[in-house]
Amino acid sequence: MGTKKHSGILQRLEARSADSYEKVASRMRLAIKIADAIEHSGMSKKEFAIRLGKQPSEISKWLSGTHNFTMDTLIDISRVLKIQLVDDQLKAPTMTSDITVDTYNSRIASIKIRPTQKVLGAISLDTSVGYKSIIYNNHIATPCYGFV
Amino acid sequence: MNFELVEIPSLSGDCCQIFSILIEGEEQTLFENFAEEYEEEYVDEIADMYNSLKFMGNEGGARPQFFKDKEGSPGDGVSALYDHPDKMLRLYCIVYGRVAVILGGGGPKPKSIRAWQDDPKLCREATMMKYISSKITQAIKDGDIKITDAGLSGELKIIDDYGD
Repeated sequence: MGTKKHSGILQRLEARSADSYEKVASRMRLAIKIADAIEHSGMSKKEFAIRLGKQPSEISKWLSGTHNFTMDTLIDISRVLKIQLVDDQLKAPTMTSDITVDTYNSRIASIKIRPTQKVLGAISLDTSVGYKSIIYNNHIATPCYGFV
Repeated sequence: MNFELVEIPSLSGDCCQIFSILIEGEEQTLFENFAEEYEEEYVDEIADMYNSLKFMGNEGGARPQFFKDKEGSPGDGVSALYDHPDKMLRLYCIVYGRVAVILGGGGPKPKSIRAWQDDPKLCREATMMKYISSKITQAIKDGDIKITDAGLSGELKIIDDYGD
């Protein structure tokens, strides 16, 4: 059997393809999500195509992992399959990384916020995680709060 | 024609093994030859193919939806990586469940043709894969190659007792 000479082509491909991997992977994950949802719905691909007014060949293209969907198509698919493919709901911003919470005797002694940090919301405490996370909700904070 | 199944480490992963074919006497696998031949003219397509295979190896597995299985002749085991109608290249392969893909060669698919038989390059590549598929199938039947949930194992060098 011939000895395989190590080729540079695979290394070149690995280097060139790195930047575009996430785009390709995202399309393929979406395709999997749709395929699994079709199967879960009990519909055949042909029925799914009819519900959307498409040809079966179009559905095959959608499921191939190579298709670049329009927003409208994703919304239509979501509606028919009763799944969420587009996360377009507005949510309040959440920041949990710039706060120090000091406790004394199991109560909050102080909450310190970086002076440069603009807080977009009132502070509420998520007691389910023991004051380690603080959720903001449309309030501009002063540099330091004190609690007793 | 003797050949060996060579795993491609940068593409294989926990979800799927990705192999190509090293023909005896050659220095590169069929996939490496294909990628090298078209890497300049079809930069983005080759990158997309590479990333698709990497995704299958590491995340998605070789799901049937990612392939066109009506390539070659019926029942010969030859598929092609799904090529969007807007794409120019076809890459032939053999797929075993969701756990192993064996990459062959391929080439541009002219818009003027309806089937691979109509293009000399694609015809050569598809015919090669049909032959390889038949040899691997025989090796599996003989117990030399095993297919499990982990992929292919066993004697991955195929000796053609009857020669070329």
